[in-house]
Amino acid sequence: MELNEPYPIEVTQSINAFLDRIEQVLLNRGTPRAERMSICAEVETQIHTLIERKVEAGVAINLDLVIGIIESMDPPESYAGAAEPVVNAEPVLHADPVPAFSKKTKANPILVYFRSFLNRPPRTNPELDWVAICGLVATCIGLLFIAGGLRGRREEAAVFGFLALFAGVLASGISFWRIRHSNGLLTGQRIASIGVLMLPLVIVNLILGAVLFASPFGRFLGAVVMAVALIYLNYRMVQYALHWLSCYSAKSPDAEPSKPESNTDSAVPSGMIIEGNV
Amino acid sequence: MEDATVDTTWLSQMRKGILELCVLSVVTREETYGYEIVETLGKIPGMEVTESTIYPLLARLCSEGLLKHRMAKSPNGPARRYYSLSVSGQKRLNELSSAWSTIVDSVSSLLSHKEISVAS
Repeated sequence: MELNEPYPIEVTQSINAFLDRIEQVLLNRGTPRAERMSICAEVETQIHTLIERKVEAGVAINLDLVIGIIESMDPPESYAGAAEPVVNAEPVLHADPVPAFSKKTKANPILVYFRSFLNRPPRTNPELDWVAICGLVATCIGLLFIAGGLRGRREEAAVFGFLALFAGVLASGISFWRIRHSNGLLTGQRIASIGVLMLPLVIVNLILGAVLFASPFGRFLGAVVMAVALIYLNYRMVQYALHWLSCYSAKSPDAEPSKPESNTDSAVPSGMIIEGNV
Repeated sequence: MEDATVDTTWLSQMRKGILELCVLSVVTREETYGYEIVETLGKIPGMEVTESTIYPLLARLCSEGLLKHRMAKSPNGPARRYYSLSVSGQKRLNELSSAWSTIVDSVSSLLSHKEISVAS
C-alpha cells in the first residue's frame, strides 16, 4: 500500500477510537477545547509519522501495525495526570461520553443502543474471533455431551468437547493479554475472561452434573448453565457480525451510517488554525 | 540508569519544573514539530519524557502565546504543526535560562562547599 492511498477503514477507526479516549480523558480533566484539539492533533500526527516510518521500511499498513504503534505509546489514562496544571479550565457540564449518534436517535434509547454497535471500531483481533467460535463450538459440544450422556455415549462427545474447550481457553488467554496491552483500543475483556474461565466452569458443571446426574435436577442444572452460555455467546456473535457489517458498509459512502467527529479523515483536522497562536 | 536509592518522585518533580525551559530551548534552535520534540527530549539522559507530558505542555505554551505554529501538509494523515518561539516566548526563555543558571551555580557551589555570594 502506498502512503498517498487512504488507510483501510479499520485502521482509521482504530486511530479514531484511541484519539476519542484521549479526548475523553482530557475532557474529564477539564482541559479547554483548544488544548484538547491540539493534543489530539499531535497524537494523531505522531501515529501517522510512525506509520509512515514503518511503511518506508516496507511494512504493510494493517490493523496489527496500528495496534502495535498504539501499544508503544502512552495510554489515554496518562493524560489524566498530565504534567501541566489546567489554566482557564472550561467548566465541564457533564463528563459522560458524547453519544455517537447525536441526531435522529436522541429520542429512542433502544435504537441508539443498537445502532451504537455500528459506530464502534472493530473490537476484536482474529484471536478473539476464534474465542467466540471455539466458545460456541464448545458450548454446542457441551450440550451434545449432556445429550450423549443421557444416551450413554459420553466418551466420544467428551473428547471433542474438551479439545474445543482447550482451543477456546488458549485463544481466550492470548486475547485477554492483547486486550490488556492495547491501551484500550481493543475491548471485549469480559468475553475473553469468560473464555478463560470456560474450562473450569464446564468442569465444575460436569462435576455437579456427575454428582447430581441421576436426578432430574442435575440434568436441569446442566442444561440451564449451557443454555445461558450459548445465548450469551450467540449474542456476542451477533455483535461481531454487526461490526463486520459496519466495516463493509462504511466502505461505500452511501451506506455510511454516521459521521462521528474525527480528525483522521481530513488532511487538515477541523478546528486547526493554519497560522498563528492557538 | 538511575540510582535506586534516589526518590523517583523528587526526580519527577524536578523534571516537571524544568520541562518548560527544555521545550523552549529545543524550539529556539529550529522550527520543529511535536513528535520531534518528544524524541529529542526523550534521548536526553535524565529527562525521559513521553508524549503525554510534552503535548499538553505544548498546547499550554501555545495558548499562553509563548509558542506559535504553522501547519505543513503531510503526504498522508493530518497536517503537521511546526512550532517556533514567539517574542514573548523568547523573553520567557531568557528569564528561565537566567534563573536556571543562577540556581545551577548556587547549588553547584553548595555541593562543592564553596562560599555562596548572597545577592543584595
